[in-house]
Amino acid sequence: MLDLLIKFQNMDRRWIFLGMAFAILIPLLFPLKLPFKVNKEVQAIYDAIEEVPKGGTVLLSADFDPASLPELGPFFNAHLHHLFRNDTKVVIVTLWPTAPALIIPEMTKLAAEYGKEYGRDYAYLGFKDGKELAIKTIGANIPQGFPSDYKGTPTGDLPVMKGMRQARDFDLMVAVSAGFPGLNEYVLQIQGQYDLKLVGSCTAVSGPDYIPFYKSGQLIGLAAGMPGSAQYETLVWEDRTPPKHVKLLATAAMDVLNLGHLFIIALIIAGNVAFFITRRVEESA
Amino acid sequence: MPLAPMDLGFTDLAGAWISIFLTLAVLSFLYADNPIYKIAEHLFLGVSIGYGVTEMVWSVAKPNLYDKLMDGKLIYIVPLILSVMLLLKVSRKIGWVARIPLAFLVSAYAAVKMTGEASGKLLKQVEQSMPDMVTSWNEHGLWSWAADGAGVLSDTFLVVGLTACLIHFYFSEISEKVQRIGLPLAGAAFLLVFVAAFTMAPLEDTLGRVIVALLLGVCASAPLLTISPYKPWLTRFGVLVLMLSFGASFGYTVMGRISLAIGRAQHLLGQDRPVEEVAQIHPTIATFISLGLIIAFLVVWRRQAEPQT
Repeated sequence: MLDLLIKFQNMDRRWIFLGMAFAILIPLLFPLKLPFKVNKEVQAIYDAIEEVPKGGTVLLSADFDPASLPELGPFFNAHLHHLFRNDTKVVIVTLWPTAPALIIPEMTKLAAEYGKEYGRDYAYLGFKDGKELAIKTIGANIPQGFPSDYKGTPTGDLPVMKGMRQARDFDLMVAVSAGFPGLNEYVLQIQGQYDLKLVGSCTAVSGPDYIPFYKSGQLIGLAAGMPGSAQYETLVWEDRTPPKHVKLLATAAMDVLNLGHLFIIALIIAGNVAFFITRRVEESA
Repeated sequence: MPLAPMDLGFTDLAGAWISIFLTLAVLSFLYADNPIYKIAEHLFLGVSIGYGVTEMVWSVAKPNLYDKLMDGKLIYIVPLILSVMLLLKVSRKIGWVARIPLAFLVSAYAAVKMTGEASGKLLKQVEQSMPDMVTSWNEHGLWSWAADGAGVLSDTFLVVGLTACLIHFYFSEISEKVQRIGLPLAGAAFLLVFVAAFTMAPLEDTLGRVIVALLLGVCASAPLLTISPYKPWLTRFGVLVLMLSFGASFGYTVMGRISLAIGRAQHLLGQDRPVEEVAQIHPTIATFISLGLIIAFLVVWRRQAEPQT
């Protein structure tokens, strides 16, 4: 028994990787559809968007990259569905150079699906470098920071930008943020100064850093990581069946997250039990 | 209405298969550092840099500098000169010139950071660390399961926990003479705050007033225990709170990493693509073929490496 426990503690870590691979693949291939609850932070995002008047405009900062796509992509996708479905106009910006290749195809596809016209119902102003300084510009004067959209049209000529000079001119600001620069910098640099109505979606890693912002009211809604995206997807498609081509990737991943966590918890418990038993036996010997 | 499915071109199909192969090539690192992983890593670095430079030139330099200069806005010569000065960093002789634009950047960022951190984090979060217990009692009582544990107990835990964490980082030795007054001071603060809160708290029910006064007394007396012989107890509690916080962060980090693995697994299985695309790409076939190729390579590579080791 002791030999087995010692062997377990010195196990090749590649067995753990293999175990994790099965813990991920099996529920993806055979979904269990375990239920999950929508928390109030995510509900607040949904409610904030529902409160935007018909024809209102939302400023969306999409600051993510391929690495954070599994966590934030489903939120971004569900968010565009939500906005277009509600006839809410949207202006998209990004502070991440890796984001445009992810934003443009999704935006174009969904806009066509809902019959939205570029420039009138939605616009993408492109990537802006400068990090916090760019955020300051978004707070103070968007056309100055983004003189033209990604097609080269002057920002001031876009009908959707009529009357929208600063971030606070929008009915709501949404930041889909994978890290720096992103949600944290929006809160620090312009939320307080311009009293913005700001909601955000972030990766799981940065979730604990942003929860105090939600508690303090600096953020009025927050969706952290894949569970946040899954909860938001649930709310967006709660009262209707999603079309066949719409993939609820975060919702599908919730079973995997549950089983993956159980696998890790089991390993932590087993490792600790084995450690304490072997130590006790060795001490008594 | 969804758009009509399109026939994918050769580049789309090849791109999909290459992305699946590269995903598995990167994952092969979990077995061991190997040449296939290295190829994928170098390819990724090269593509990232190329993409980043292109994006910077067309999305930043062109609209914000080149176009402005072409429009005759001569003031933009200043950022052009500063940019050129920054590039001189590569020169050994006149590399010092780059310090001038760097100084602008550092000072601008320092100013922006300072104001942001002070207004957005420091002031607002300090304000939030002093919860309104009367409102909390009226809304949630002692503890509300429905509101994720909100209530006066949580508020007290926040204040005492924060105090304990801060005291953990107070390293100076406190003389025995001073330590003698710590406990009486804490006791006096407790009594004073208890009496004041009990008499002045705008609460109608007596039980609420007693509990709120009691907990406010605890919050007020906790920091004063720093100068008492009980400081190590408070420090210990601070460490426990920090460990809880690190545990929560670790949990979220694990969740983030599993999410990334899920994203890749969905890609390998073709679950992240519309059905029409899956029918053309056949991602599971691409996955099995790539996996077979990589395993075969690893076996050969391992056999060749064995005699040398």
